Amino acid sequence: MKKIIENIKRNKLRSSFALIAALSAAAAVAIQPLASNARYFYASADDEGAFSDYATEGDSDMTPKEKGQFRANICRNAVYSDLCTLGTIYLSNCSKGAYKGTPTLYEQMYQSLSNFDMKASDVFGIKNASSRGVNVDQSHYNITNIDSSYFYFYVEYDGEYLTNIEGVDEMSEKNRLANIMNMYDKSYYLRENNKIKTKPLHDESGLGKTEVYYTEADQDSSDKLTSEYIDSDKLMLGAANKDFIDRYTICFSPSGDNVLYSYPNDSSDYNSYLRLDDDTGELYYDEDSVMYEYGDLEDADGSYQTVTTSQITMYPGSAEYKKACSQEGGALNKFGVWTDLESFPNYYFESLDTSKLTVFMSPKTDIATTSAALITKYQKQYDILNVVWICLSILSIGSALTFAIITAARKAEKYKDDQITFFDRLFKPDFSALAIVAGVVLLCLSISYGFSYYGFQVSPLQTSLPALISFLSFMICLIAYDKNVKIIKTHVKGSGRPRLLLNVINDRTLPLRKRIEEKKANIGIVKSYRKLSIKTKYIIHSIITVAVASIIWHIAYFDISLPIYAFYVVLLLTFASFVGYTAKLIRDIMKLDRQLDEILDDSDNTMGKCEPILKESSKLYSLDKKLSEVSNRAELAVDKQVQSEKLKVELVTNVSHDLKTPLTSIISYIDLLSKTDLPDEAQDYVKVLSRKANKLRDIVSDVFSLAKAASGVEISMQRLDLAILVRQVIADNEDKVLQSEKELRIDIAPNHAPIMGDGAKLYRVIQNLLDNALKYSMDYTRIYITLSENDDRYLLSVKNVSSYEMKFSAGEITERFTRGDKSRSDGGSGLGLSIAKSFTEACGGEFSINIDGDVFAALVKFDKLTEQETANDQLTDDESDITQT
Amino acid sequence: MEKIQVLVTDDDRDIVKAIAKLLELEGYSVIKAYDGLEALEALAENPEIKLVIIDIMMPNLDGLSAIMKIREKRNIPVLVLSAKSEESDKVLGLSIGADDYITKPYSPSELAARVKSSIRRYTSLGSESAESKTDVITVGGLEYDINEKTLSVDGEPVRLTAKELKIIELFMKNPGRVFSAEQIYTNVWNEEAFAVENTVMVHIRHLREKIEINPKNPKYIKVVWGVGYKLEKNH
Repeated sequence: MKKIIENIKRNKLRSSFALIAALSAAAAVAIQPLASNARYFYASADDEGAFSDYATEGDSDMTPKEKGQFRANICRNAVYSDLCTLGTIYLSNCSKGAYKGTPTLYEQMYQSLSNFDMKASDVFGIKNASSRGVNVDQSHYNITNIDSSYFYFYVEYDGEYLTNIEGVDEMSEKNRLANIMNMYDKSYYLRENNKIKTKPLHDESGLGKTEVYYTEADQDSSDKLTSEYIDSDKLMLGAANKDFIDRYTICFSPSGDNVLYSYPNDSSDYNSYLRLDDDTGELYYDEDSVMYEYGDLEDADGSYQTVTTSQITMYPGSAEYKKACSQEGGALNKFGVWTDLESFPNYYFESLDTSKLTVFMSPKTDIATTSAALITKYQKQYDILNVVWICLSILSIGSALTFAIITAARKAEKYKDDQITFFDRLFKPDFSALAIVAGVVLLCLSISYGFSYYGFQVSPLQTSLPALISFLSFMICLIAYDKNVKIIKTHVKGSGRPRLLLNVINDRTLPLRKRIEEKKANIGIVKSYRKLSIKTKYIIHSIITVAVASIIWHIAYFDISLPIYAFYVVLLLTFASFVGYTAKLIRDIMKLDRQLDEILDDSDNTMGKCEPILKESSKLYSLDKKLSEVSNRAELAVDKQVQSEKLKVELVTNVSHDLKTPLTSIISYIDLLSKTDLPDEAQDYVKVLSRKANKLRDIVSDVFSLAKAASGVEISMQRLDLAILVRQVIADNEDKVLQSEKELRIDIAPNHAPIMGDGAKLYRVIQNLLDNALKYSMDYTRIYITLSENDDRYLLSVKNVSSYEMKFSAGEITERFTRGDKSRSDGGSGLGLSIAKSFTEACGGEFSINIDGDVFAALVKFDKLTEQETANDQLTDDESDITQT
Repeated sequence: MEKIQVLVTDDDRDIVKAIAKLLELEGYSVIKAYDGLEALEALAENPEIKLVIIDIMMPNLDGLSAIMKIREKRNIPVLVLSAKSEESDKVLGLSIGADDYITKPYSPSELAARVKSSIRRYTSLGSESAESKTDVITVGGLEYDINEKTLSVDGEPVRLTAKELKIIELFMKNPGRVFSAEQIYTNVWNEEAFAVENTVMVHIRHLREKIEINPKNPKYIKVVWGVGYKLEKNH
């Protein structure tokens, strides 16, 4: 413990990063439930799916306030519908506050009563009423926190009433309603005598317009029920009917869905609905659930079938239904046969008296505002939490990475200690592989978890945390691995590689694998497979992978009984095998690449010899074999080249010696001859001989130096200054220039132009160029010698105007023994430019000739020395001091 | 006066003959040898020989071995005359004890001059006046008297201008050291140097004409191309 504390104290920076990483990760995890909670509320208001029955296009553009109003309307409508139902069914069966109807009906009503906290649990002893009764299905509307308790209500039928307003009982029947309306003057909904008065909810004046809506049924009291399209902000008057089998059909539902509830009078399974078609205003019959689409009512010929209430005849299973089925020959819709009501004389449809129904509703609070505020709050909360979460995540990742890097750097220093620390042992590659696998599995799990909830909506933490974990472990392990390998390579001599779990297993199983490999190599099919080209092998492997994967996919798709995780595992294994195959391939390619590097590593531009390093089972073995063959042959070729180069130099040396010796005699005797007393004529001959002999001497010397330069021997590179060199050569040749009829124009831009080169050779280059220019330029013209520089090079150009027409290409002129003017025979061996070119290239420069009309330009380019090299050289320059005069 | 004896050794008889003729015209007495062994024998027989001209590539005993044998006994000047013209060959020849290295094909007048210079150095100062004064700096055949500000080449005084004297003094005091034109200029002229290559070169050329046998192929003041100038240290 003490040790740990000391350690932390010593590594303050590092520890603080670790601490920050841990804390921020923990905080991120901690706020995640809050964020997802907020998101749930926010999303449920935002999610179109939840309001799908009501939502119109453009709902997603609603502001939170509008959404709140929308939800308040739904809630209000649902409550209103329920109250109407309670009034017509429950209260109509009540007398002086006591229920007088059948137990079955009471059971149906139980849920609605419960909704309004009005159930009289002692009535008939019913405790667990079925949910089949009148019911505001709140879960269907996804209304979670606004319900009937948000309203003051008062419902009355023929003197019987239900209310949650206190003090109503004390009021006299005559002015009860007037009193209530006085109490809740500001906003209310009132249905009375088949009329509706609505005071708009948000009318600040509190007066509002009173609007009255009628239904058709209300006007003519016929059995035909229609409705007008109703704004969701308004309430529909609706009507209630009772059919011949004592079943209530009630239509008070106010909004787009227009659900009509029907209440069977017995506990048969006809828990059905009448639905009102929006377009035609007609009712149709639907079975089991409001969730059925219109398409379910498709007739045999594909058209939609709708019916009016008067057409409703029978229910599946009834005698009429069966009869009709047999009549129509079975080509019937499963929901029944639509026939005229008149054809069934037993059927009657009784309209209930809704004129006795009075419904009063007043919101307890401004629910729209509440709801809107709630949504805004959650939205804000979610936004803030999300930002905080992202910040925490980034902080966590950042600090963890910093921690890892600092740690790695610190550990790197410790290489000297010959120790593998606990940290290194912990983050072995095996561990890292495990961590990565764990991360991937976590990721998969969290994604499938997300699927099962909200489709593709997965919270950021769910997806990124596993990814974060695996990435982090990967990074850390990478660093640790590098170190592991380095330490072991440096300090554990002989073993060559770390004692990692994987390697241990590899070593242990080596004999076994070798035996298997030997046996495998003898199997015919393996042999022929190995002979296939890399492409074919790859294609085969890909096809197998895809085939296996698709078979598994099909099995999983059609046979649900197969456990889904088994499917995942097999699919992952298939994928992993393919990845493994590719990884092996890449590893082998990397090995080949390293091998190539080794071959090319020799600084002397030759190739090293190499043996195949890949195993015979490797897909790239044939490639490796070829590579080693190539390198061997290249080495042979290089050997031969070197041999022939040596021979060439030897030959040149010998020939040159053989030429020089007789030449020495010739020159010597010509000299002696010139000193003897000869007739004038003979003296002239001797002079010619002397001149020619001297020229021959120059040519022999040039040939010799060119041959030496071409073979690249005898170059001693040193740092020199091209600017100084050019000036020196010009100064050295000053007398020559003065003797000629030409002028020099010199422009040496850089004061110093340090390069690497052989001074004596480069002197020859410039000397030759200058000679060439002096020799072949027109009289009374100027020769331009320019030294300039660009970013990485120095450029020396010698330009002159030729005294003759240059009928040759730039390439030809640097060929050996080429002279511009072919007819000319005076001066020069014709080797000047080729010597210049050879010497420049031998010193690592670039030589080029440019001919533009009569302008001849020779260009010499040299790379600049780097600043480092220059600085080093200047240092040594300044060190020694001169003995002053 | 008795003629100075010179030994000429080359496996090519024509060359030996030509050199002999050349040197006889210059007033030397020539002893001929045609390989290294003969040269050694000739030397043993004629202790009066004052100078040896020797080729390198010869049968029986090559020139380099012969020079080493000569150096075991004698201190006389040895001139190498060879077709091998590489820098490395020259360095090798000079380092084993040759006094001068002339490449074939040679210029007869230069050969004569070099022979003359070597003999004068040998007879007038060289080995015979081993003791040198303290104020005199000697580099090869050059002698510079610091006090008197005089220079002599192979014992013969040379007339130099003030600037030339300063330049040669700088070189003589730092033999083998490479000076850039700027350094020479600032040291000799005591002025800030700018683009002085030409000025310095002109003076060096004049200097060479006065002290070198062949100013085109200087022995003492050499150009280190692309760097500067130096006085060759080893002679």
